[in-house]
Formats: sequence, C-alpha cells, structure tokens
Amino acid sequence: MEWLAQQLAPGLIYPTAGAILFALGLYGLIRRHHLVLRILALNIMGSGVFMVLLGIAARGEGPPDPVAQALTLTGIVVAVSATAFALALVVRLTRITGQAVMLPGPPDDHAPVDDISREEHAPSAEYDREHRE
Amino acid sequence: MSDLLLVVFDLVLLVGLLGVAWRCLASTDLFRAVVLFITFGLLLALAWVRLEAPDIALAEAAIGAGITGALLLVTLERLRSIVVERRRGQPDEPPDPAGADALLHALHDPPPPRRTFVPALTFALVVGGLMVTALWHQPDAVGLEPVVDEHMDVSGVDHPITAVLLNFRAYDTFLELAIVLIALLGAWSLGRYDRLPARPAPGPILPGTLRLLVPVAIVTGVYILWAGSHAPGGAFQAGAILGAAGILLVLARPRDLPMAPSSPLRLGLAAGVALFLAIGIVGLLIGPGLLGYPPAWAYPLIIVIEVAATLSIALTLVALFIAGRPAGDDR
Repeated sequence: MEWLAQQLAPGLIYPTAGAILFALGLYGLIRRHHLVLRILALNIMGSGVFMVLLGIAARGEGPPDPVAQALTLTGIVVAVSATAFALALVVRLTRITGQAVMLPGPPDDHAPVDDISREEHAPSAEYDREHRE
Repeated sequence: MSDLLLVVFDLVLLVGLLGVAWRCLASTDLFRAVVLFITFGLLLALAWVRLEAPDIALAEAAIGAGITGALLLVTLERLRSIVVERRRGQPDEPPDPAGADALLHALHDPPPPRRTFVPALTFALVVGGLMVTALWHQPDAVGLEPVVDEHMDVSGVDHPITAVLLNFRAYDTFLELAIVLIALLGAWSLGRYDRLPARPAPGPILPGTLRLLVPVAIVTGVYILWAGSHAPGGAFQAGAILGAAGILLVLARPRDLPMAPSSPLRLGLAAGVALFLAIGIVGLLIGPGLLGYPPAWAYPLIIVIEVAATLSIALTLVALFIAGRPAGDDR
C-alpha cells in the first residue's frame, strides 16, 4: 500500500495526466473541423502543458517552485487573450464565408469581401445617430 | 490512510478531467462542448489547489472557466445570429453558396471523417507517449524555490509568486500585458463594435442582482489586488473579477451600451503596459537595470504597476467581450 501511494505521488501522476491531456487536445485539433472546437482543443492542450509545469513544480519536499507557478499564471492570461482574438477571427470568417470551418482555398477571389461586411454589419444608422455626441 | 484517500482523490479528479475533455472534443453540438469546457476549467481549478497552487486556481476559475466561458458563449450567439441573418437577407437571390445546411454548420460539427482517424490517433499517441516517457525519466530537481526564497527580502513583497511576477521575472509580466493589448488591437482591427446578439432580459431580476453583485465584485477585486503582496491573489485575478463585473453590466443592457469616451478608454487599456515600461526605463537610467527597482522603492512601485495592470486587464477583457472598436470612433 505504501509503495502504491509512492508510485502515485502527485508529482508523477499529474504530469502524466497533463501529457495525456495534451495528446487528447492534439487529437481533437486534427480531427474536428469546426474552428470553435479547434480553439477548445488548443485550450485543452494548453491546460495539459500547465498541468505538466505545475505537477513538476510540486515534486519533492518543501513548497512548490514559485517560478513555474508564475509562468503558468502568465500562460493562463496569454491563453485567454489569444482565445478571444481567435474567436473574433472565427466570427469574422463566418461573416464572410457563412461557415465556421477552414475552407480549402480562398473563398472567392472576386467576391467584394470588404464591401459585404461593411454594408451588412456596420452599426445601424440609428445607433450612429444616438452615439454621435 | 489519508495518503491513500488523497491518491483516490487524485485518480478520480484526473479521470474526471480526462473524461470531460474527451466528451467536450467529441461532441457534435457546440453548445454542449462549450458547457463541458467550462466544467473542465472548474475541475482544473480543483487540480491546481491539490498541486498547492492557490494563485493559479483563482486565476483558472476566474479567467479560464469564467471569462473564457463567457467569450465562447457570446461567440456561439454571434455565429447563430450571423447565419440566421444571412438566410433571411436575400429571399429572391440564389441561395447562399454555403448551402442550406449553413445553420447546421454554424453550431454543429458533424462527426469527423473516418480517414483522419488512424493518422490523428497515431500522431497523438506518439507525441503523448514521448512526453510521458520524458516526464517519467526526468530527474528530481529542487527547482528555483531556494533561489527565490533567498532573495525575498529585496523583492519588496511577501508573496513569492508576486515577487517572481513583478520583480524577478518582470520581463514576462510586461510582455504578457503587451500581448493582452495586442490581442485587443487585433480584435479591434477586424471591425467596429457590433451589436451584441443578446436580448435584454425582461423583468427586474437581472438589474436587481447586478445592483447587489457589482459592488461585491468591486470590493472583492480590490481586496484580491491588495492581498497579492502577501497572500494568493494579485493583478490578474483582480483584473479578471473586475472584468467579469464589467461583462455582467454589458449583458444587462446589450442594446444600449453606454460607450466610454474614446481617449480615456484607450488610456486605460494601455495604462498597464505604458506605466510598466516607464518605470522599467527609469530603472534602467537610475541604476538597477531595465525593469529593475531599487529595493527600498520596490513595494510602492509594484503596487502602482499592479493597480494599472488590474485596470488595463479588466478593461481589455470587457472590450474583448464586446469585440470591435467603439462605434463612431474613427471620425
């Protein structure tokens, strides 16, 4: 029993689970097509990396390594900003192509992409008037 | 006995995490995937507590589960409204090139084709297997804990993580704030503020709850910011809590958002990076080096930087939620 508890110490099983999470996210990233699902898969991969970092930081006696924890904290904030930007790109792509998946090529070179988005999606005239001043 | 219980807890938690992640990535309904992802974030916060990282747990619960979840949900609503609009738009014109199942595609993802199964599985297994092998054979190292501990007296604060974030590795934090700002600029470059797809919730419940919740959120945020110098907490967690309060306010009146005047808004968004850089350059000129502080001044400088960073992060998160430059901004 003692031996088993030692083998399953948090410093060992959490990094292992982190690696599995990373692989799982990678698998999802390759197989799924919808871009929001791909963003979720990337976030799960990132969480796996954080788990590896924090799991290794918690190894051994004594308090955990604060540098690894600070790096993870930085990573979480960077991940949320990147996710927000990626989601904004997905919304924009859907607005142009009507689908939230990666198309094999450019949608249509001759489509007046910019005009479509401006006309249809600029804030309405009333809105502009209300907020003019 | 308690050791054994902890092992059981670890195993249950990790199996649960992997299961939720798997269900999230395997679901064909996007709403379901997003809800499972939020659950995943909350379970992850529990795992961080178990790994003695309360700071990360706070940040994960507030940012990883909370803010990311809100961003994902509003994105799904946006996708739905875009597709509905496209279908309604031109009744006489030939059908949309995306086809009749565009609505289906916007919020559903059909099960992936069979042909990607074997390559994807092989690739994931190889990468995962290599990582696990490397981790198992990694020698135990003490890490940087003793070094940080030794220098705590010159850091200006009592909490090791805040000391690393804002003093020893100030570079990382400075660049991180810059990335947050760049992400917002990227989102703004995609277009102007677009009406949120949400309808105002009828009835007095949401405004009444907000009147109670927002002051509590502000007090909690300021407390967590202040606590960061000696206990778990700090600028990121506080910024996330204040940002969440801002997002709730936005949701309470999605149709008639009071837009902040442009220049104070921009000033607030850039305050964190700008102040950090200014103090860093002063450090370079007067002696301790770029982004270094004289030990006697470290505490007040760290507090000033943290206040500015909190403000910037909170504003940026709300702006990222709204997505798009303020309307009428480019006149």
